[in-house]
Amino acid sequence: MMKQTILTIPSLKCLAKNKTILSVSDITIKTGELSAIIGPNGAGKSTLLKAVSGDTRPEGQIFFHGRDLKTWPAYERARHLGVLPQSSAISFPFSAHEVVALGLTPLSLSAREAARSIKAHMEDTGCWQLSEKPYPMLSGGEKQRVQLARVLLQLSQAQEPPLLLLDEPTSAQDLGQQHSILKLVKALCDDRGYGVMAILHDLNQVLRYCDYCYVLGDGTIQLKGNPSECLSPSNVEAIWGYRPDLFFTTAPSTAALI
Amino acid sequence: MSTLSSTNPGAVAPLSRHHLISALLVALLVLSVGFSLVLGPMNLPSVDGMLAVADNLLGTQFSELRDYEKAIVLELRLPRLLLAMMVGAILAQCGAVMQGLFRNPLADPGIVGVSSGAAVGAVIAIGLLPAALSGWSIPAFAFAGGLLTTLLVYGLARSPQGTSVLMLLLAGVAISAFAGALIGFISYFADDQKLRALSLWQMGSLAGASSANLGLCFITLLILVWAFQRQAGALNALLLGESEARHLGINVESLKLKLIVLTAVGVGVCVASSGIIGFVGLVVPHLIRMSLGPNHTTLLPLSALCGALLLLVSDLIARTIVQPAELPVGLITALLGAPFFLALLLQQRGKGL
Repeated sequence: MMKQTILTIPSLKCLAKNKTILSVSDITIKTGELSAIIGPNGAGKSTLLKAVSGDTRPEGQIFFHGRDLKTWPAYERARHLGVLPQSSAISFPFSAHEVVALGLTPLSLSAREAARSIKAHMEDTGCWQLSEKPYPMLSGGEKQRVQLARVLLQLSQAQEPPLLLLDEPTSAQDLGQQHSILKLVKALCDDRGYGVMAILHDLNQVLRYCDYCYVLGDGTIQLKGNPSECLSPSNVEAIWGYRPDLFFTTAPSTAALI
Repeated sequence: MSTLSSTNPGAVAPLSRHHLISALLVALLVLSVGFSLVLGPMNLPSVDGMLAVADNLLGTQFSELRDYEKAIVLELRLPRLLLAMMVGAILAQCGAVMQGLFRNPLADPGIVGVSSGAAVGAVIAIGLLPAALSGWSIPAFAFAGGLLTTLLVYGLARSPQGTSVLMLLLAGVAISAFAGALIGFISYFADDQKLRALSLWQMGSLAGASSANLGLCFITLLILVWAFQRQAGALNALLLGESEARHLGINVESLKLKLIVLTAVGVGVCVASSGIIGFVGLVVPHLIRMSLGPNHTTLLPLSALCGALLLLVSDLIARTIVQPAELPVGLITALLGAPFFLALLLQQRGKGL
């Protein structure tokens, strides 16, 4: 598959109370690429994600499939750009199935197609068996998978390769769930050409799953590139203030930090 | 938006159950209409009571009621039951929408103080403006009062997780106290004639059904049912959270503004025509949610139906239980609603109130 550019940010500035809290440039996400946004707390990771998702109005331009993101009509944008929230509390007793069905909002599917699509996405994310359960009663990990099914449904009619933004997708999960969600996301990139931008905390997950990483610190990009090159013990120490030991695992061959 | 909500089948509750409950509500409503026509200080033969209404509509002569009995049915009971149903439907829909908007199942026009705000508007119109204008000035001022309060409460209680129950309830307490004080001041300075109008209005009764306020309620109800239904899909998405709804392509700011204005119109019109009637907007959507889930495409129309039924039955109780005198209908709804509200509050207590 020819790699196509999904997102480019030539330069971007976010202000809060007249202070610059984020100033980044030259961010590119291509099809099939899983890019990690990492950095210490307060580095501006969420600010960057919120700027791309359209929750804030930063200075500068974001090009999405070559068009200024601001000029995309709301529903068309929603079909191409999905956000998996870090946590989502709903105080009303929707069933898991109904929450996933909300992903249909920007789509126009027939009733039968919609029902099939909901089921397919719930099966893909391993939450079909939760269909009838009330969403507020689900565990953190189950909620996450239901939300992921909803977002993937929302992106299912995209004409261009979609962009998926993940805000700490592994934070509420146990070890097995963390890896299963990342594998699933990786498969979306490899098989369906999704572009993914994910805020992650675990550097070993970045090393293992991500194609590219942007290391933020103090509101600017400190490093970017291939994770195994970026995350050398000395670089990690410079940014997080802790010097890890570096190991190499064999199958799969990945660098690991402890 | 309307086309989208209709293609939202996954979000629709099981059809048979939904139809069953609608049919049940309609049947109960018809039954209550019948009882409301014939029961009262003067009990009338039930068939004749209903025939009188048919005669009036069709120009026939089936009813064997005497003229004064016909007058009771057509000029007292019929307008009153129509007003009860429309006010009940509007209040229940406004309650359901307000809960969606605040993303909080405890929001209700009465509890959060919007009704009190509307009441201040109405009292200003009654107490300070010429009586000749009252047909329009009372609803208009009630709307303005309701709108200001909704904006205020929303601003106070908002947080990224929805709205804080604590802030919502405290804001309601504060606003109601303030509104009570304002109403007291205006009453204190009103002359005798205005004072009489004020106290009559404050009793909050459906007895004041006139063709003017029936017409206004009818138009309002039609507009609200139509406008709210168009936003049902967007309201569902809003329950996910504001950013999530925005990511789904919904213009959240414009949606919220529309809903705030529309609920203020609804509450304003209800308060203007029948005073403060509490708890309908809280109890009804909750009952529907318990039986059919929170999906607004079914919640909103069934809330209207159930609200109409609840207020009609409450009014029937209010005017027959101590006949020939009658109780304010708000007393009955509060008697039913307040324990319900407490139960909800207890249920919410574990969830980080």
